[in-house]
Amino acid sequence: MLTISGLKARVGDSDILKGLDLTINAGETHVIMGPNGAGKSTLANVIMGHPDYVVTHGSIVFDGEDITDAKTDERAKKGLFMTFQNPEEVAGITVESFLRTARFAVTGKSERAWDFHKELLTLMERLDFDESYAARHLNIGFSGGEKKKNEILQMLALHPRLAILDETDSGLDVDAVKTVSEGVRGYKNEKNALLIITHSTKILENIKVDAVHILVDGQIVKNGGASLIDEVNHSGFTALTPSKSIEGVS
Amino acid sequence: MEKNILGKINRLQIPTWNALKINDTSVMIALEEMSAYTGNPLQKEYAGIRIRKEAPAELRGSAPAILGDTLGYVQRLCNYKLHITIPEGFTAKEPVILNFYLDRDNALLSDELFISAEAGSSASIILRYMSDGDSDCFHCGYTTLDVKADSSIRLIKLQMLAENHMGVDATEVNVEAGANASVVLAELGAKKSVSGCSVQLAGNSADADLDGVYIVNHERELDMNYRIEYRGENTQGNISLRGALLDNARKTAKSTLDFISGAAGAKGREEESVLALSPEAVNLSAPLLLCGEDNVDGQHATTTGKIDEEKLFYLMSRGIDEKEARKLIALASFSSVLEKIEPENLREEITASIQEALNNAD
Repeated sequence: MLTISGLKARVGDSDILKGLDLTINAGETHVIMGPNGAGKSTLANVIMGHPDYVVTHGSIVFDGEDITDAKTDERAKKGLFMTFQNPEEVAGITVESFLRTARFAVTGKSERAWDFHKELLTLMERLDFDESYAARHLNIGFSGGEKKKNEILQMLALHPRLAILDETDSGLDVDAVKTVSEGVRGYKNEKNALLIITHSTKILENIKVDAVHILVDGQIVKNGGASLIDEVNHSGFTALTPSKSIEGVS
Repeated sequence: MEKNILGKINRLQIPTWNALKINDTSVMIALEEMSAYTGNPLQKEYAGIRIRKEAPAELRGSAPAILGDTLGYVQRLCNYKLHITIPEGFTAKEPVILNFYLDRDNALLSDELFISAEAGSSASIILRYMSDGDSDCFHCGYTTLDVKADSSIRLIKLQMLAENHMGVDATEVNVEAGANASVVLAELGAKKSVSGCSVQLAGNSADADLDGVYIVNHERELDMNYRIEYRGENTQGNISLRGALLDNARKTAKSTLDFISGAAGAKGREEESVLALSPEAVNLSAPLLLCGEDNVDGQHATTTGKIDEEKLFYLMSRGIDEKEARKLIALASFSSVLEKIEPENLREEITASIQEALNNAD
């Protein structure tokens, strides 16, 4: 589904990704872990086509198509989705209206407003998200946890082929992590895929993980299965990357 | 031949350097002889509301300084008068709507409108100005709104003149003790529009919101001059402007909070948020804060911005193409003012007009 080859990317004058390879197949859940500043969020933004991140080498192929230079909305229409660490606030457009606009954009199919409304309320209930939020302006006045739930709500409503969760669990209390985790499990099936970016492991407790990649200084320094999560929990990142000097990580 | 028949109008209360070209403006029009306006803006009767086609019997006081020039011209040219009275204690169940349409048969309109909200009354008044672009039209108008004690009134003026026409409009508002006035001025059309509004918070605890929403595109020009004068104690009044500039538009916004001696405890805020969607657009703002009283709270803020690139990325990451995303973000900047516009179909009409301008942006 997603093949990243030799990816190098920079922001301004800083090289962040320094040669990264990653392959994700349909039905798989991959986890990227690493210390702060490793380039995890940069990877998510580069995959999604953020204009501030410049790819200087390598390619991103999604479903057999090179999307390295594709615009962000084209990537989304092909089935890529990313949850944001700090979701943007947009006044004047309600959550429901925004989601309908987005769904029409990615599917090209118009739906009856009532049908969409009912589906949305079902999804919100699943996320323990008060239905009144459907009529509120996008992320305006939402708490941090509500914004994260709204990101998961969007993921569930838009049915992406590959969802990238960028630190979705950060700033959430235990109950919210559990709710978000259940929402993620509800999304996952054998036809889609997940890339979870995190430096904690709370969100992973209830999710079946197929592969874990440790990202340090813009490169994947170790690959493994779900057991690698326990190694990180036990030993930290430093022990897993003896050839690298990782400052500020305990 | 075009002549500057209106002289200097919309003067800044305290002039600044002439070089800034913000102190006043003028309108060049080819004005033929004024004939009667035979349109029928009031298309129905409103139960309980008195409407007369003449000025009130009592003498009007002098106009606020910033509107005096405009009033003089409107009175000289006047071809339409109307006096609307909301009786004491009366609550209007539906808005009073006047649709002024200018076309070949009614190419010139100089309307002098008087709205009296008697004590304890409540009503909404909507004034819409539209014109047929195939004719040579000009609008010049002056509205006086008297908001008596403990009454509540909302005035919405919607200027949607054709792009080849000139419009000059002024609104004078007087708010008595305990009363509330909400004035929304939507400037969406005209080749050049000159809009003035002066609100006097005369009585203690009088309250007013003056909201302007505008979109200026192509080669169009908009000159706004809005002011709130605080006379009563514990009065509160805010000016809020939301707009977008496209293409080669030119916009001047003069907004003044004038705290008069004796207005102890008065609070006021003026803010303007401009979305500059074209590097060619000219954006001039002159916020004034005049304090003749120490015990007041006055604030002002002006922000000029482009489309927030992070918001753009967020919306595009959901599959929304760049043009549509830009439009949504631009439209969002109007939301705080649009929310105040009722009924809903009027809000939708204004929203659609803004959307159309954004759709046609380069």
